[in-house]
Amino acid sequence: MKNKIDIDNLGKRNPFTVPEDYFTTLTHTIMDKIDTPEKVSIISFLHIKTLAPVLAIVAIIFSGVWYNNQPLEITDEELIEVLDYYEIDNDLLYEYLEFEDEAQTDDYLIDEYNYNELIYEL
Amino acid sequence: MNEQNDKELIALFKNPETTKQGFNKIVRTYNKRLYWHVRKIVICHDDANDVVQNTFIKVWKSLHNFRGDSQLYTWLYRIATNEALSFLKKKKKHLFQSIDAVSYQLESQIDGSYFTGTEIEKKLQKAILTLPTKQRLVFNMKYFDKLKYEEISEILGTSVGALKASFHHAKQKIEIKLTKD
Repeated sequence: MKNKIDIDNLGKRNPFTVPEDYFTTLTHTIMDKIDTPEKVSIISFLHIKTLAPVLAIVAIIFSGVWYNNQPLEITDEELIEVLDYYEIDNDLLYEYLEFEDEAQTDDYLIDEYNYNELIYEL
Repeated sequence: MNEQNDKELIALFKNPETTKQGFNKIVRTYNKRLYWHVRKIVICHDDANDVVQNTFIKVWKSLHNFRGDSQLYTWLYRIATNEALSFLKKKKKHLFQSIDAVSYQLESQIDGSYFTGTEIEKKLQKAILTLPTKQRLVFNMKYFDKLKYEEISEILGTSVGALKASFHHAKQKIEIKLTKD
C-alpha cells in the first residue's frame, strides 16, 4: 500500500515558464494594440447568424417581385385553346383578334406621325 | 495588491490627460498575475498570450464603466477567467468535444515547451486537468495564487461555503490520483 501524498508538502511552485523578456514585450504589444484603430468588418458586425435569416427573407421577397413582373405572353394558339376549353364562341374570338389588329395599326400610326398629323389625316 | 494603489491607478486612468499612462501602469502591475492565472487554465503559452491580450483590450474598453463595487484585481481576474473559459469553449466547438475532453487534450500540452517542473509537479498539473472546470479554477486560485475564499467568491460569483467544499473535493481527488499513479 502506497503512502498517501499530501499536496501541501509539494511546494506550490509554478512549474510553467515563459520566453525571455516576455512580460515587457506583452506590455508593449497591448499598448500598441490600444493605439491601433480597430477595423470594423460589416460581416462580423452583423453576425452571420443574424444576417442569414435576413438574407433569406430578402431573397424570397425579391423572387416574388421578379415573378410577378414577368410579362405574360400568350400566343394566339394558346388563346384559342383556352377559349375552346371554356367553349367561348368563335365570333367573340374573331372580334378580339380584329380589335387587336386595329390596336396594332393605331400604335403603328402613332409611331409614324405625331398626333396632329394623325388628326389631319382623319 | 493594495486597495489604495488600485484607487490611484483608476484615478490616473479616468483623468483624460493621463488615461494611457494609467492604463500602462495597470498592465505592468497585473500582467504577470493575470497571465499565470490564464496559463493554468489554457496551459499552452501561445494561447495564454492571446487570451491575456484580449483580456486587457476588454479592460481598456470597459474600465471607464468600472464603478469600484469590487476590487480592481478581482474585476480583472473575472474578465481574464471569462476570456479563458470562452477560449476553451471555442476550442470545444471547433473540435466537437466536451470541455472536459478539451481538458484531457490539454494534458498533452504540459509535456510541450515552457514547462520546467519536476516529475511530481507534472503529475500534479495533469491531475488538476482531470477536475471539472469549476473545481480546477477554485483549486488553482486557492493553491497557487493563494487568494482568499472571499476574493474567489467575488471572481466566480459562488458562495464561500460552496468554494470551500469545491476545494476540499478537488484536493482529495488530486491526492488520490497522485497516490494511485
